[in-house]
Amino acid sequence: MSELELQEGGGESHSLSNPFLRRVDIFFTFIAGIILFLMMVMTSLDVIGRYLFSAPLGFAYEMTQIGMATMVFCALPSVTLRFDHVTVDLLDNIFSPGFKAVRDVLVTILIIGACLFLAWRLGKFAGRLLDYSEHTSVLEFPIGIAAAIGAGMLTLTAIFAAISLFVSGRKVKKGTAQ
Amino acid sequence: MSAALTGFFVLFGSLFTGVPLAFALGLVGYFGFAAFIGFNPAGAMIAQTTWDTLTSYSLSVLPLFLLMGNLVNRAGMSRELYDASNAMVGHRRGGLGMATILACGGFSAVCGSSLATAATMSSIALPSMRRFGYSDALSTGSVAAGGTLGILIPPSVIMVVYGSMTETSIGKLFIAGLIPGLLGVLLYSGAIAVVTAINPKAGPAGPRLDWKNRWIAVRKVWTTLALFSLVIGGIYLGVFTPTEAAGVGAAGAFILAVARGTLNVQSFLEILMSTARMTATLMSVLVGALIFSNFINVAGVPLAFVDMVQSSGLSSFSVLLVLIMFYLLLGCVFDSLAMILLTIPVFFPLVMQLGFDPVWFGVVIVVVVEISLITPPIGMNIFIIKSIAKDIPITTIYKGVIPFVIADFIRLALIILLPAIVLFLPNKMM
Repeated sequence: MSELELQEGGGESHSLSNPFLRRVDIFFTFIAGIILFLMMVMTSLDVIGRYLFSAPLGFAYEMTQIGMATMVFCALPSVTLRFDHVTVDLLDNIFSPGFKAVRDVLVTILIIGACLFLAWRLGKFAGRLLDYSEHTSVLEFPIGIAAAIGAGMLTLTAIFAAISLFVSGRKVKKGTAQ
Repeated sequence: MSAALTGFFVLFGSLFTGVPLAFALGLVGYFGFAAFIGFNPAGAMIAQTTWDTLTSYSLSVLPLFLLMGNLVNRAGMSRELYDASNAMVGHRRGGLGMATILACGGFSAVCGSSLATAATMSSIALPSMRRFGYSDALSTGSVAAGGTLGILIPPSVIMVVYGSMTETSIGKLFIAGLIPGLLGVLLYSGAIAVVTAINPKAGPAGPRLDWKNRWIAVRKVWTTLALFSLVIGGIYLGVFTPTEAAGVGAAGAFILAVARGTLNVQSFLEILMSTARMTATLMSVLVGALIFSNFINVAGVPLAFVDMVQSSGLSSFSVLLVLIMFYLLLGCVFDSLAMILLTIPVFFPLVMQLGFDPVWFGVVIVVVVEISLITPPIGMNIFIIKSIAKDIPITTIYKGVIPFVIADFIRLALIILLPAIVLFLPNKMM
């Protein structure tokens, strides 16, 4: 349920037993974590610079915005692979294991479809931003690039989720055999 | 209106069969919006909403405050908070329970989540209360109730979500939660005093410490208190934005954890990565909720709702009471975040129409949602405690929270009858 994910260390999903998906999971989450660290350092330096040296960084505001979007996009494959998405599992005790196995596959297919569709729309959106060469006001960072990264990460999320379908299928069989 | 009803129907159906909240909200929102305006505009809307949400400066407090809470926890401050509270009130009857409430209040001041507070404090406070012969009901009840302070005392995840959905100042919401949060600490301690007065065996007094040892225990928590004062004081005085406060707070917690030697490269990376994951989880839900809220708006639900209420001739006060009843009922099936996300788009315009203050309403909603965290059947804090103290029957925990739920209702009544409790501090802000 929703706030559960706010605790440290989400659930280890079985799709992470696959070495390739495990590496993917760590690689992109690592990038997201580094971006978060940079956001923390940048915000602090900006505040210290403003009050102690009357010299704020100036770009902290715009780069916080770009940073957060990029961080969230990079963490998406991991969240999806670990099944960390918030769900209402009120009725889960009522459903049979067979129903749940089929449901999990259908939900994953739904997630794949939604991610691909959003990737396509966000890609169009990024293209427009790049066409009009929209950029941030201080560093003149092209905003479209961050949106394009988003479209790319959403596509990758869909691809990894598709791979996980086959990995988790194996696990379901193992689980019922026990 | 019928389109909106179909939307809600499909939404609940998919939620209860296990479709993740973010996707259920987003998909229903997309198709509903498309039914009114067309598929191409709906596609553009979801891209725009995703982008606007993820690049929202005010929402960037989320990852930074989550990071701060995780680092503080890592630095072992939660244990020190408990020891310090214990040194001060542990020798009273029910004192260990009161210490738990105090320590939960302190921990909430650096952590924005109820469940994290309940989970952290139950692993620390439960063993010592059981050692001193506290009844299972009182010890689990006080941890469950204390945990709910996590989302009222700033920083608070739920308030950030409410603030971003209603465009209410997150800084003001944080400051507004302070006094009701402290009131919660007082009333919960009062509840423990009443329980132990009726049944002294439920919470026997612990050993009394002399002032020297008290001072030693209290001195250890000054860093935590300093961190909180820096963050909240900074927001209150307008020294920094909530995002900057969160960034500085996270950096402060990072330095503290390094200085205490509780953090190495490996564990720091793990904290960064898990915080990034939590943020992505929360933000996907928010994007979904905002897409859904766009559909609700084009379907004209808030307007229809306002019309309906106005033609009913109910006074604004009774409408408010009906809303609160509705939230309490909803709290039986949904948890805090889902409740806020699903209801705010529909109710908030109505509440504004009735002339209530948005900051005050935010605090009222958070208090109501807190109650739902400790009431059956879906009280998330209760489940967390049950998962940590496996041998205590869940019915015992349900019994244990009753005095605290009564305390919560008293607080809710106070906040509704005396809005100044909430609005006094934020109105003094620049």
